[in-house]
Amino acid sequence: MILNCSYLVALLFSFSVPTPLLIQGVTFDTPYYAVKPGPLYLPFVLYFGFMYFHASGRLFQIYRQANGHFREHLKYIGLAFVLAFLAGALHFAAAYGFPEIIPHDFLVISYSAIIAFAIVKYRIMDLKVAITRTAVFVVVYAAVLGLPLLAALTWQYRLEEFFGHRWWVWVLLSYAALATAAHYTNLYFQKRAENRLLAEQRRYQSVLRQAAQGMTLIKDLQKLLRLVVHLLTQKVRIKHAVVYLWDPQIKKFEPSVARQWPVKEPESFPREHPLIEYLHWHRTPIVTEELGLQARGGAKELQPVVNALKGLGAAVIVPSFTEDRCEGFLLLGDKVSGRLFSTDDLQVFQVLASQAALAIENAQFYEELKRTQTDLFQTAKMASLGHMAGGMSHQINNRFHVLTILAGTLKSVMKDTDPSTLQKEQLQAIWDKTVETLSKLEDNALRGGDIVKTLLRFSRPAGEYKQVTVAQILSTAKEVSQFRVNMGVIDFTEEVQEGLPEMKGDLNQLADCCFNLMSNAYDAVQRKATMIQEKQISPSPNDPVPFKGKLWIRAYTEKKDERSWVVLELQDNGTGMTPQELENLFVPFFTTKATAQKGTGLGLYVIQRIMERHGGTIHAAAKPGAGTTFKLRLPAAVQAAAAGATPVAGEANSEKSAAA
Amino acid sequence: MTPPSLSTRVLIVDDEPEILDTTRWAFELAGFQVQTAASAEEALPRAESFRPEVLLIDYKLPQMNGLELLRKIRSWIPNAVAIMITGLTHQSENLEEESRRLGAVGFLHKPLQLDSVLKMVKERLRSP
Repeated sequence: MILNCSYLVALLFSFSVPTPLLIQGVTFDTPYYAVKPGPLYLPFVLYFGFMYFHASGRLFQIYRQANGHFREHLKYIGLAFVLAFLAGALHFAAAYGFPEIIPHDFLVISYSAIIAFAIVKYRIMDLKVAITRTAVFVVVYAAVLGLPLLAALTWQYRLEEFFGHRWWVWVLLSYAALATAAHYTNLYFQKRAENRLLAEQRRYQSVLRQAAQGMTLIKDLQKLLRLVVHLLTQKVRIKHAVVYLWDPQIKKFEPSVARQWPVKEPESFPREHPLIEYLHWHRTPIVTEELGLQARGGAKELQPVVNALKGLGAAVIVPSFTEDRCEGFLLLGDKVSGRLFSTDDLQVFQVLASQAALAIENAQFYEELKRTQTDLFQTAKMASLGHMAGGMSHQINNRFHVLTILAGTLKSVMKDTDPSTLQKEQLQAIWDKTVETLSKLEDNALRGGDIVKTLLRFSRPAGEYKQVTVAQILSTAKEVSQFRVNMGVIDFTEEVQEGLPEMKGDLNQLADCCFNLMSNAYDAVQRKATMIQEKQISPSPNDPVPFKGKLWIRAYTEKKDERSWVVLELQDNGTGMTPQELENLFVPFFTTKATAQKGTGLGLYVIQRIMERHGGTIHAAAKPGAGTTFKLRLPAAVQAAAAGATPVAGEANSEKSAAA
Repeated sequence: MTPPSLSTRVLIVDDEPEILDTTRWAFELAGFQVQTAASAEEALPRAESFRPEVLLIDYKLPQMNGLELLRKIRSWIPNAVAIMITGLTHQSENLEEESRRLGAVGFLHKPLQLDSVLKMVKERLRSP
């Protein structure tokens, strides 16, 4: 408001310049010309004074709040202002007969010199930028204002001829218009020139700003730190960069990630270190060079901080705070180009550092969460193991029970028989019975072993997840199943879609799932074959005559919830299941005794847990007497290019369902 | 093997078919006359018609447990030699006491040794 009013007042005054209202005349008063003031001259001087004190007041307010190099800038600008004011005041005073004690030209030169010094010494502006700005200013104003003035002076008589004796009014008006045009032209060219000059700096600053925004999405702490260091060394081209993080365990700031460290192994800092205390106190970036100047200028208490910085080979230190805590700091060496860090640079670094602090906190929280989740899963697993133990031991005990009765019976038969008295047929009968009993023994012992294996498989922690293909899963599953499933007696069809995407997971676990379902299907078709043979049931209309077991394995991709899934489908034409059986399918140890002859009652429960762990699902559909279809759905692994930002498969949405 | 009581009738109750088959085979070879049942419901009418002298009952049965089954059978056949078999280890003291009150001569844990079962049965049959 005040600024706009002052422009208006200045404009009004400017109209009075060519009239006697402001200046009536000029008298020679050694060594200068003195002004003979008109009636507007005194208001003009007061206006000048008011604007000076107003501006100085604002400057002082900012100065009080400022710190670091910015405070230094303001100090010099303030001093220059005082000189400029003195120059003006002395000049104006001369009009009222006061002698100029100090020639105002000298003061104006001093003012310019101090501003120039501040620019060079404290980088109020990049020196190149300052020079370019001045050059652009001179060229633009000379062209826009100087050339018309020259023309006006040269062809003054023409103008008088054309406009009459008030010709200068037109000149004045056109000057007002030209001045406005010059202002914007100047700004335009300055911007163009600076863009070219600072292109490199602007480029990396925008890269850093963008990176800072995206940073909080990164959940891997090490990756995040490496990214920060990479950006600083590769994009900004700083010779070396180190990220220090507060380690609450050893109560020190530890160098976490470094690149191209030239001096020595970076040390760690306790909270009481002068450097850390300084950071905590000021909370702004430290520029070693400036701090050195301050220390030399009398601030002796800064010397230990400067020494520490020099020892580290640090040009700049940027602290990062979340709330009141310093989480860490960035230690930067010199730029490869040898150019100095500008104020803009420091601002961008600060944005980067504070975003990084947030992101680091996020990442640490996420890692903690991941640990907790793993613990929870392990706890849940142990709890369900305890839950299973009853059913498990019952199953194992039954196997042992059958074993002991078989072995005991065989033993008594052998003990009570005298082979020498036996007829050949009797001997043959006992021999056959013995072989039969031994294979029963073997079968039961194997099944006991299967139960234990299932238990072990379940309690085993998940292996490293790797890229796996459907082909790998199927071939591993078939390898295992040859000990259990006689593929020769059933029709086996495999339809695997070409070019299926890979998945991320534990090959053994996934192959186990597949094998278990294959073996279930095999049991179901064999059971049905026996039941048909014994005329307990009749084959369903679609079954081949005579009945033959069928197993289809299909693998294909599917889009669901905007994700790609790999579906592994196993269909059999076995006994199927009733809706009640389907409902209880995934309940651990849900098993009728008839099925317990074959399985452990654990298989499907374990399969479901494995699928959940892989971020997948399992569905079952069945019709009693007609067959069962299982669908395993696994998320397709994300392509390597985009893999970085995706959460690990397994935490993704998992659903359990058994649809009839 | 010397069959001591050629016509001694045994009823075996267990809900796992394989255990039934195996035990039936063992007792038949030992000279017993054997019938089996996979549940209490199946066992009750069979016990009524078959009048077993020996009962071999698994405690854990669907719907009605082995002890309740024994209590029912006892009401018509008070003298049968009863052996309760269990896979459970916890709570077995209470169960053992309960089965003794119902006149079971043995409360055996799976897996069991066939010799000792046969010996126990034969002794009981000789000296009731």
